[in-house]
Amino acid sequence: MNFGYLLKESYRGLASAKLSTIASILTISLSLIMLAVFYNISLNSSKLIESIKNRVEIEIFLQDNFSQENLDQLRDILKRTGGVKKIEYISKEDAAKIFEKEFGKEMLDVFERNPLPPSMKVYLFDDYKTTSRIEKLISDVSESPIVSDIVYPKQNLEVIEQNTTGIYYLNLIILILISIASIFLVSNTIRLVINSKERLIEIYKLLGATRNFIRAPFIFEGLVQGFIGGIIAVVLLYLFYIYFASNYLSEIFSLTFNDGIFMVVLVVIGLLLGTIGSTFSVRKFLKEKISIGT
Amino acid sequence: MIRFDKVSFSYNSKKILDNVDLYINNDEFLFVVGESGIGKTTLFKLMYFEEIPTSGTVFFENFSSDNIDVQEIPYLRRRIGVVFQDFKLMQDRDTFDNISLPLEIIGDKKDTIKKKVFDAASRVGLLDKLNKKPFDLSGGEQQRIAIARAIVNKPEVVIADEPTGNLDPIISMDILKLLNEINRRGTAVIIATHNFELVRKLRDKRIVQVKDQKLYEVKIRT
Repeated sequence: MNFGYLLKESYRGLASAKLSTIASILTISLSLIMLAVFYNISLNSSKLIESIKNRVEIEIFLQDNFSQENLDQLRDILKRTGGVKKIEYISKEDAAKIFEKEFGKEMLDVFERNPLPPSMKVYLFDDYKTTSRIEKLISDVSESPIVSDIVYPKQNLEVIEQNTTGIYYLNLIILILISIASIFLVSNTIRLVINSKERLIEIYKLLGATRNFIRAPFIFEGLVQGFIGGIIAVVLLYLFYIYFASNYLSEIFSLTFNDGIFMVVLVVIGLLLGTIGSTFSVRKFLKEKISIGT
Repeated sequence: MIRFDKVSFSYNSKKILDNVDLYINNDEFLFVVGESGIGKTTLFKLMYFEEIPTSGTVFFENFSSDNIDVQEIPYLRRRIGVVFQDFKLMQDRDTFDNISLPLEIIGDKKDTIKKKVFDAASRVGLLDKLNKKPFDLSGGEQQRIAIARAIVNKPEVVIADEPTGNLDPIISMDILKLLNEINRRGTAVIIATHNFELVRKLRDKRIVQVKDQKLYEVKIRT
């Protein structure tokens, strides 16, 4: 097929069913906006989980008197346990300084001597921030005679652990549902356009057109509709970001609506939606209608 | 070129053709006559494989209804020019685009298409109507578009189903002369008609009558 003919046919197709074409373009835009909004919700929920996880640190409070050897032994135990990113030793004096900074000097003046114990802050690699691993670390560390207490945000971590998988699957299921609904919506709207051309397809077949010849203009039309639908979605989301989100939402949520790559990806998904939608819709008409005598 | 071998065809348990044989030569001019609804169109549909026999085999050159692959059907149809009873013209495009359709389908180049369309249009006398759409033209002119579209790709056979069905006698005769001319240039022509008067005017042609689900060779008495 000549490319010129493909363009001409596609243009003719789009122009001859203006209302249905507009309907399918808007359906594609709507589907993309749904996907984009959901993607951002999902992204922000992951970020929230991430930020809670980032704050997970273990504080090991130590006895007041210990030797350097005791301290080195404790460090060795921590290193052996694995997953330790950084160990920060806070002496009694450092603890007092931190306390002063946060609560003021007066609070400490009440005491005759510094009541704050020395401690160690242990930062773990992300993979090791699980209750089971931390509990293992605690049981190892407890062997050291200089450890008096160990504290970490156990409850927060448990809430995340119990819900992360659920949130992940929920996100995945919603994403799949939105994608299927989008393809279904788009292919149904495009089918309206193709339905009106059933006779045309019939003539093509009788004149010896192959499936690809018949299919090509419809798929190209889907591609064009997907592209326009994608551009509309990107523009609307960008306007939303500029005039609304950046003023009211940006501090709580971070949105990707102004991100160049995100915009390109959204247009590409639009192209795919249009193409897949029209491929599905035209398939029904491509079957060779041969009546076999009964 | 076209051969029916003991072909029967029933539709919804109604027998339309029963055990018929037919052989059509390369340069033949054949009338298929019979009353309306007797099975002439079915006979044609069997030729371009829109219908497949209930039993028996239809052959077109190397293609056989027994084992043809659906993917091959387009290639068979490109070798047959069909003038449909209802013309099957595309109403949203002009004469040129209607005639050029079979050439676009086979992927001819723009210049070749132009040349072939002008040639076909001149043979049917439509050169001055190339930019008109079907609804701006008379029934006879629309029939000519259908004929030009059928011959533009130089098929081996032209099948015309009731080509004079809705036309007045003078225009009908013109169309018939046109098809006769196409045949004289070496293309087989098969015409289905219920109009015996028309057939009498070209009395030297072979005539096959569809009657009681059978085919009969008919001779016109002089």
